[in-house]
Amino acid sequence: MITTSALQVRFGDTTALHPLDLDLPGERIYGLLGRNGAGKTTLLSVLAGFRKPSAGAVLFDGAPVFENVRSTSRICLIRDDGMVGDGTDNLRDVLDMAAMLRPAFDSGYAAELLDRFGLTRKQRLGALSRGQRSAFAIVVGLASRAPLTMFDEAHLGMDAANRQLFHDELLRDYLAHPRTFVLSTHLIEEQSPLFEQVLILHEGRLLLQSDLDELRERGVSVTGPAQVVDDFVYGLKVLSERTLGPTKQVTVFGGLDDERRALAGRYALELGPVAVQDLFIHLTGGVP
Amino acid sequence: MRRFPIARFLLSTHLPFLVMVLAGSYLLVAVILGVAVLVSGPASVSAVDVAGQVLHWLAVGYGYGAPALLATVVVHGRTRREFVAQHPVYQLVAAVVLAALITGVYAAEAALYSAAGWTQAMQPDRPFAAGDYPMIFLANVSMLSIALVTGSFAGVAVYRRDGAGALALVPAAGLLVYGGAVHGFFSLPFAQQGLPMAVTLPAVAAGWVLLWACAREVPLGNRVPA
Amino acid sequence: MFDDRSPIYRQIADQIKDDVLRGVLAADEQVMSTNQYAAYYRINPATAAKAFQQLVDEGVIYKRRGVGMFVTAGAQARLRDGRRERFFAEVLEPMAAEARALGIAAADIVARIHQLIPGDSR
Repeated sequence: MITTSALQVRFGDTTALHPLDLDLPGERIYGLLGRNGAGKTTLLSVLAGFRKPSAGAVLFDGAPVFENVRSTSRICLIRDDGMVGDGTDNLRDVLDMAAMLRPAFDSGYAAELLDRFGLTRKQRLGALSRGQRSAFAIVVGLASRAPLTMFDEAHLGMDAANRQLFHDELLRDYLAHPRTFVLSTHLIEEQSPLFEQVLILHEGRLLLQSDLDELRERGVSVTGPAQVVDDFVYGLKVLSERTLGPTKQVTVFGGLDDERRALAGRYALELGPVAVQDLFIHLTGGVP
Repeated sequence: MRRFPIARFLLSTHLPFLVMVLAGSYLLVAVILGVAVLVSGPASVSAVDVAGQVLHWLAVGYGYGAPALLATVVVHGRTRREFVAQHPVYQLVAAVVLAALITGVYAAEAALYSAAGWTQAMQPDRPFAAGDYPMIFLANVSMLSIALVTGSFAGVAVYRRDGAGALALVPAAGLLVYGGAVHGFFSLPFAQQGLPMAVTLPAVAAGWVLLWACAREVPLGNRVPA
Repeated sequence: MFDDRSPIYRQIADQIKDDVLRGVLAADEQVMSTNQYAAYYRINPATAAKAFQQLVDEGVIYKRRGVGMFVTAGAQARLRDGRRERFFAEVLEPMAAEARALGIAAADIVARIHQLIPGDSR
């Protein structure tokens, strides 16, 4: 579906994306995670052809993306500002425009979604609240039915009920019309069940690309007496450590084999799972 | 997907809007003319021609809004290349339609003035005289198309902002002076030669080349300009 | 719904197994589809599919091509046998350890168990 090779983006002297090789097979839902400034928006912009790569290539079904309408008309990126038209346009104008410009746009579905989000066609885009604007941008994104649809923090300002509606509609429409979605988000616990794979971007580099369930299984917390824990985790990749009196809890990454697990049982160490959000925080440098 | 989606979109939405705005403005001109006649007696100059002096700047201002359109069509999956190819076509069609409307308004005014016994005098430096409708039409097509493409180029250049942004105002000003001379806004040697399209076409071509140079790789900013 | 911590597909598989064990899902009864599961629990369909694959591998359900997933005959009995085997190791032994730590006498525990499971006074 979409691949990059040695893709690089620089802004003057600063490098936003270091040479990046990415391969995202089609008809999956991907989560793109990263701290502020990790390069998520830059990556999505360059994947959508909003920006030209400084070096390297972005290929969509084998064809270049930037300024190639065969690719761009099948890619939809909804950005966090939710501006999918001019502020003076009313929602009807924007939907009509999208229907003219987008080959697969489904106006009937857009009307249905508009209703469900409680928006009306006469409202002006510039007069919507932040959350309403996000909801409208999501309507446009979903109704575009683009084979590659990307949402860059598109839920910004939306209340919990509307976010849930977004997630329900995303899944419903994904099942009815399988296509590829990429969602960048900071709402890790809320949105990660939707993902088949996660990509973690850190300081302009791809830190990790993994099935979500595999990622969950790779993180293990080990709790017990400090000395015993230290001996047990020797040689393992330790992400974080916390102590409370004589007790120590260590988060290790990479999973434990059966032998190690048996060993933990013999030493009476407590093994526990680690939430995806905690893994993410630890993998991207921890809490400062 | 039908061909030329951007041009079709602009022609079906923006152009009717512009026609309505222009027609409304001329109604306003008629009202002002009526008040002026009541206050100070018979009209001695063409009100339509007086009002026509701001069209130039309105067209530049409308053209200057091009980057918002460009960004929006890119957001909806179209390319800059398509925009730069289709937007000027729309501008030329719009210039012709609006110039036809303007010419018609001149004619209507002429009928009114002759019925009332007033003189429909034109502004100095105009390349056309009252009643010379082919020239009125050509001069307005010329003025509108130069102003629209120049405004678009300047808008995109400033939107792009990488150093060249402010510098773009120099060639833009040059094109506007040139265009102003053609349709009689300024008095330059070639202004009165009676061949507006012969000087307009190179101006529009120059504006289009500048627009293409600025727009063809412009990255989208994080916000679509208002 | 989910505790965010262990893989979701395992939690779904466990829920379906519980349903089979308790007889909520009878032998040869159709199980909801992966897509229905995905939409209901708001999870990626691939995750739901993994749960179903695990259950197929364990012989709890079987696939009828083009129709859907059904509960294997005898799955309930097999699951019950498996759980019984694990009951002493997974439930009773930790309880005994806890009782020892708390100083609770075995007789007290047995008496309480008779209260909780009456009519079984061998």
